[in-house]
Amino acid sequence: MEYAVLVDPAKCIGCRACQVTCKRWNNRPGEETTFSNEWTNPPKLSFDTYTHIQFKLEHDETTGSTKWRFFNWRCMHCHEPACAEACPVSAITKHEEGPVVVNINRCIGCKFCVSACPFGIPKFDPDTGKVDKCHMCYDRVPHKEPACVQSCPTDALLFGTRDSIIQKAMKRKEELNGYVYGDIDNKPLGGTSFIYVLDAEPSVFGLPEVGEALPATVPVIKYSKWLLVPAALGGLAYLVSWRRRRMKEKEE
Amino acid sequence: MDRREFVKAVGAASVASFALGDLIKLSGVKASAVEATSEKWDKYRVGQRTPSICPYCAGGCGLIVTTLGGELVEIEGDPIHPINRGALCSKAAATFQLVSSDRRVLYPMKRTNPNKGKDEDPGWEQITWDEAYQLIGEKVKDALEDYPYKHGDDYYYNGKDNPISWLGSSYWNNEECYLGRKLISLLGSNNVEHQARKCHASTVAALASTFGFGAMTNHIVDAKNSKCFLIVSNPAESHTMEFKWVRAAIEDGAKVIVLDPRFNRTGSQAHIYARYRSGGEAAIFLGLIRYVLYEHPERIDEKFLEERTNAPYTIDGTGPLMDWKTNPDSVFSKLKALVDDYDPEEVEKISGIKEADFEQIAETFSSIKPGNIYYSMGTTQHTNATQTIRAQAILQLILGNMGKPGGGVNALRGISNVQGSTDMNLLSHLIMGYRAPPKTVDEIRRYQKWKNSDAETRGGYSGGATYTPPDKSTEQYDLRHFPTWNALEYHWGLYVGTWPGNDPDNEPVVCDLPVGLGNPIVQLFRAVKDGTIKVMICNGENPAVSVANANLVRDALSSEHLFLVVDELFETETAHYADILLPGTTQVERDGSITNTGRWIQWRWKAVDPPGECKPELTYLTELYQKIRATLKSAGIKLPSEKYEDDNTGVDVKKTIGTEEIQNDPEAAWPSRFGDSAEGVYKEAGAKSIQVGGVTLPQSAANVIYKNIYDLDLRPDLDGILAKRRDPNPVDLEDAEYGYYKNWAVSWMVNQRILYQKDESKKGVDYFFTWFAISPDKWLGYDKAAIFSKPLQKPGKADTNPLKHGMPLHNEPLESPDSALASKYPSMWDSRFKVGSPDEDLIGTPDDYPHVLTTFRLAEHMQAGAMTRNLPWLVETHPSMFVEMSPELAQDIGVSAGDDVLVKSARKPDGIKVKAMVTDRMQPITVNGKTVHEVAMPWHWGFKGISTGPSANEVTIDAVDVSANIPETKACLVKVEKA
Repeated sequence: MEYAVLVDPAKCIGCRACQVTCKRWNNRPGEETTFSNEWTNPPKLSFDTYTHIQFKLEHDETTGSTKWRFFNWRCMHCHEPACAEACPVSAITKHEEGPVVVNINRCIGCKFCVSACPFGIPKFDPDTGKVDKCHMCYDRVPHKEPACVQSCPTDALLFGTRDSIIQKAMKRKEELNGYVYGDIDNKPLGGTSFIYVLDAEPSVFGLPEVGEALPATVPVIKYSKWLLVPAALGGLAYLVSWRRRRMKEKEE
Repeated sequence: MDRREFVKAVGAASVASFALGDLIKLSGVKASAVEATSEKWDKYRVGQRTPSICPYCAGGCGLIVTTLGGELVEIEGDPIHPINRGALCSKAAATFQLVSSDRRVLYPMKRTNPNKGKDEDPGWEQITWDEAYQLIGEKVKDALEDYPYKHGDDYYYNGKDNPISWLGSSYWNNEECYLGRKLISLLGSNNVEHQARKCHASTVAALASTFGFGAMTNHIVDAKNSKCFLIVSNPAESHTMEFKWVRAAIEDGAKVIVLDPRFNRTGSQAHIYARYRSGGEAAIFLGLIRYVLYEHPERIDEKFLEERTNAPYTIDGTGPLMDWKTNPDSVFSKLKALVDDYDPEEVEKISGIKEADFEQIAETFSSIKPGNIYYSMGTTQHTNATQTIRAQAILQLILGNMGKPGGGVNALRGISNVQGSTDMNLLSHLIMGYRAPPKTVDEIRRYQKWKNSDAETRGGYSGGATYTPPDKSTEQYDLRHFPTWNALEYHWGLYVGTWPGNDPDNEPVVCDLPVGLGNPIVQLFRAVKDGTIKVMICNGENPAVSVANANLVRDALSSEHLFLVVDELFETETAHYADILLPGTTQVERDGSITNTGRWIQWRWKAVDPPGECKPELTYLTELYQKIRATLKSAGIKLPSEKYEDDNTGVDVKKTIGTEEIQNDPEAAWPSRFGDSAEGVYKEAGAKSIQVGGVTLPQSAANVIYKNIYDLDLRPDLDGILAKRRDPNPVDLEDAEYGYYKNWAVSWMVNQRILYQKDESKKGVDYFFTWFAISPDKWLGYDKAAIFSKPLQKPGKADTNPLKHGMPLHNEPLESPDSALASKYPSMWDSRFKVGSPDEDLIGTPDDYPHVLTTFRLAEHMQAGAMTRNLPWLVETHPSMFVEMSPELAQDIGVSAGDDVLVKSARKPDGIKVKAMVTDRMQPITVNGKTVHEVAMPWHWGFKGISTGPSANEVTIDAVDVSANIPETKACLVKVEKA
């Protein structure tokens, strides 16, 4: 069974419960941040911050009216994930239930996924040499909704079977006279498991235009791994010879 | 597998996946189910679940704590809880980090550095609990050694000058608050205060004077029944889960009007948002009343006014007048005449809300019913706050929005148990359920006669002089307070009366309850400074950050003569000044009940053991009093009744109820008559009925408004603790429709979920309860809400209007940005108390301090900050203190976003240095024709914790409301300039 999450920024009050709950469930530390006039803090997703709220303030000088939007941002969990496609060691997997998950034990830190993702989601951590990102609580789903969804006070995040979420998205689109990003109106990388229903153009929220098919660059990234083979083989040969020499020295 | 084998295996797997990765993907194989788990999920899945209630705001959201073998695994929202249904806000979501923080105080500590001050290192030294109790006991003994217990022939302690004081806490459970009030009373002191004074003291005064109870009239979930919201608060941030239900109402078509000087996260959800200048609130509500009375009289709920208010009476209580709508002597006509001045033009002058915008607001709110008013600190923290809240209440009475689902005047309270701590009256002027402590010996003499009138059940002197009411209003007063004194005599092991009781007019008064009111918070710190207060026991409260003009508080806390005991989770700014710092526990580490803003009394079950030597507060209180009492007794310091016995050989002061002798013996009744568990104390506070000596006590519950929360007949399976009920199913169709959740926990009064609602329950208290609010000279009976309130009438103050302040008028803040407005609407602050310093008034003028300052809260931080500025998950969201200002002001003073600026006031002429937050959420406001720049600062910061910064309260003003003693933290004058 495939599941999905509906993100409805028009219902979001920007309390950041999702951001904190994610850190709690995934045991990620708080980041050391600095003063932010815009309030988006941490300002960018990172190895330790899988999801955050982006604050977008608009003010119309002529009417004096103010609009403040809150936008939950994180991995889209694409159907044909460019990150998984590009990963040379198959450390990233699209689960049947929807989540796109990095197996951190397998990750070799090559950052191919970082280059491949059109949304800029996977984040490299120099301390551990690994990449990580939101995994749609693959450990909870489908027994329990993702932690962020459970926490959301205003149902700005909703979890359900993909079919039910698509239905809700269509109904909500009508109410908002809006736009569905991730399915219906556009299907980045074959559609996504996080689906946004928006009351304005996706560009207002900083969402990129991403086509249904994999970007042409992904196979290039993907197969560029074979360029590494000679180097890897050379390295291996060196290691083997080094070990032999050492064994020999030991024997002596 | 050794390390080498592991490396080999991983290496092999990597090589395999490197080569085979493409093939695996091509074959479409997905991750197996075995992989789809995590260490956390594995523990969570099999862990033990314990329900609790969130420790942060007063929403009362349910938590589920998961533990495995004593280890804390997860704290999440309770999926079946009617209020939050599994959701949480950012603060609540971080409770896990609060509990598991390595920054907590783990052991009792004593100060070794005799010097106190912000920059002094306390030099903490670990001690044992016994050593701590011993030190505290000695200091209490020293302070009370020469404190007089005898005044002429009468034996009692004066409650005001008593050198022992107690602070806090709204973070504590009801049972702990109850014991705190009991403990300080047993020491003969009414110098007891806590957070409620600074947040909703004016609500208690205003709503009690209008409706009967000083509390939110409806409850959290009830928002879903509203069709229109008038919000002068910021629930999306400060009471996030309230907004769950506001959002639900919006989905059903409700309209939301938000009034705030600062466009905030609540404003982002509004259909109509209007900016006003802090201090203009009363004018706005008076203008709304005027709009209904003059522009749309057809929207007045005349039937409601006639049946359920004093509108048809004269201000002396004569009536009802048949022609009240036109008779100039009726309260209704007086109100109409009074609000006539507040037309949209005047409202604009005062508040800055444009006439057209105001008319749109008035039209929307008066035409859509039921309408709901949400308010909190923006209204309550002003010198005229009581009157502003009265204006809100009167507006709702006129529109008939009271006592019905989706209506009401809804005070949103700030801390998880602030309603409960207020109900337990950790306040200098009240004791147990909003009853007054004895104020004079004459009252005690009358009380003895009242006891004698029914000696068998009340424990009076059978055959002695009995009670005859001197007049109706005195009788009303007496009948309200005497039963509670009587209950406290029994439950606390005290004696209150004359001895032996047969001649109450001439015998000596012997009273173990402190006599006379104590010092409210602002005056309390002046009493610390002048040496009256010698010992302060401060629990779960941080006055060094939270009290207006914190400079004076910090100065007072640095006094050499003050012995300060602090019980806390973290080393707070206040703890930094302490002589003894005790390790408290988090709310999931102990049992007890708490009362949310909507008056639901819910149970918290202990889920994990406290770390280190952290001691559950109930145990701490139990032991603390036992040790203090033993030390005092050994020095001959006792209850007044015991001193009377000592001075009069052979006398045994006691009373007899039925066949049972009740001795003056507080040890026997400590911590409760029903044992030392939270359940025992709960029963003492709220038992429905108690039999003693073969008779039923006239008031069984020590706290009368909690009567019926303990009912063994109803729920023997829960041992009578109704707060433990966890059934979200409705009791009937009405419950299902409106979402009362009457099977979930219990609420006061008598499980009535919407106060004053006629058809909710046959057994609830469904009438207005304004016995003292109407006219003390003439009792109109129950269910007459007070549009005119004689007890609040203060003809001597400021304005010459004889109705003032029995009906609300606009009054400027003490520091007004406009001198013309200030002289037309003079401030009604309590000028008996100096502002800013004990010696001279530090009041700023618009010439020196041209900008208006308001303070506010953020969703991610809590009050004085200890519970959030120590948690990295929350600190990352808002890591530093700032002042929010408009781009126009920023340009005027030459600063950009992120620059350091100085915010100066008459209390802090050097200013505090904070970051400039420059946003379009702030805009200049036109007040009385001139441009006023308002700025806003969060008040969460202080000098301790992970995130430190100056406190907003270093610049705020400590002028207090004349009716409620609440400081004017929401409006003062400052000057902002580039640092």
